[in-house]
Amino acid sequence: MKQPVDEDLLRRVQRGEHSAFLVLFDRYFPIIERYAARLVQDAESVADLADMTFHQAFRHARRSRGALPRYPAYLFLICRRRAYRSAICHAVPRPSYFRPLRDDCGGAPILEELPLDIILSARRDAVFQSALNGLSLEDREIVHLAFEPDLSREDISAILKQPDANAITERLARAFRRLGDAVLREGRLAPDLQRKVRDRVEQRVRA
Amino acid sequence: MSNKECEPEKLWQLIEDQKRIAMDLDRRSASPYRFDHDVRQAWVQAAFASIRSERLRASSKRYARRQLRNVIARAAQSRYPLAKELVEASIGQHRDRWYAGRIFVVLTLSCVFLLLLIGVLVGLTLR
Repeated sequence: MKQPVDEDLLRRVQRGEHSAFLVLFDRYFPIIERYAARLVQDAESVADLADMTFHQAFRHARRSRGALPRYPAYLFLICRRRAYRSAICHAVPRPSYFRPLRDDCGGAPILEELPLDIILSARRDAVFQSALNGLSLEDREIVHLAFEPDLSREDISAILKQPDANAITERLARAFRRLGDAVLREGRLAPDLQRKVRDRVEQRVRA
Repeated sequence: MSNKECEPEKLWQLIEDQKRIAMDLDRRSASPYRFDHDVRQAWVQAAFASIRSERLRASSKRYARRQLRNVIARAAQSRYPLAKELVEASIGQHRDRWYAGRIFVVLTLSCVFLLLLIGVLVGLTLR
């Protein structure tokens, strides 16, 4: 059976058929909850944040939406705003929206230089998740959003308030390099392999 | 173009491919094995699979759905659902506005009183 599209469901909510919003809830709650978990990393706050995102979205859904991002991106935006505004995020430094990109990943290997050993190991998922959780909030966030199937590059730049899609591409590449570096450290490579990676990086830096 | 220069765009392309494969997999129309001995693609696939393998408690969805159903039911029962609910939701905001209004009135009255006092004093001095 064909699923109703988001815009149709929102129109039904605006006409007074409020229970249509539950379809949107079922569709997007898991991805919003996962994103909330990436932002706040505390089970209690994650549940509250995801919960409040949908309450706010429901209140907004009953009014005309105007020029806003596509629906899933709009939910991500609400969730992000709530996370940054609420006290649960106070322990984390607040990223500025248009902060110039930092190029502090000079020593991190580029994608081609990364060894396959870690990603073929049984501990792969644990290593990746631990490495990702060890990154800065900005890096964690962009890597997470980039892998969300429902979001395009334009959606991500709207959520992160970046001027254009190119800024997102650059920022993602830097975050991914830092992730690769963190995975290498988390995965504790064999010393000879570590040396090989370091040699390749040094060669590239010299070139 | 050097590797470093084309890296961001290539990375984005690999991620997009990966997302497409995942969506095809959801529709059961694709093979999960898409490795073509490209290190970059293998890393992107591994990151994608690892990020999505993270499991959260299933109970929070049930609880959140119940809460949302209550909000929806309240909205349906209310004659002026939007206004009433917004007042409930932003009660703290209304309270802040009320305090701000009270402070404004007190300050304005104080200024008027001071001006009157100065006027009376000046008038008395000139006489």
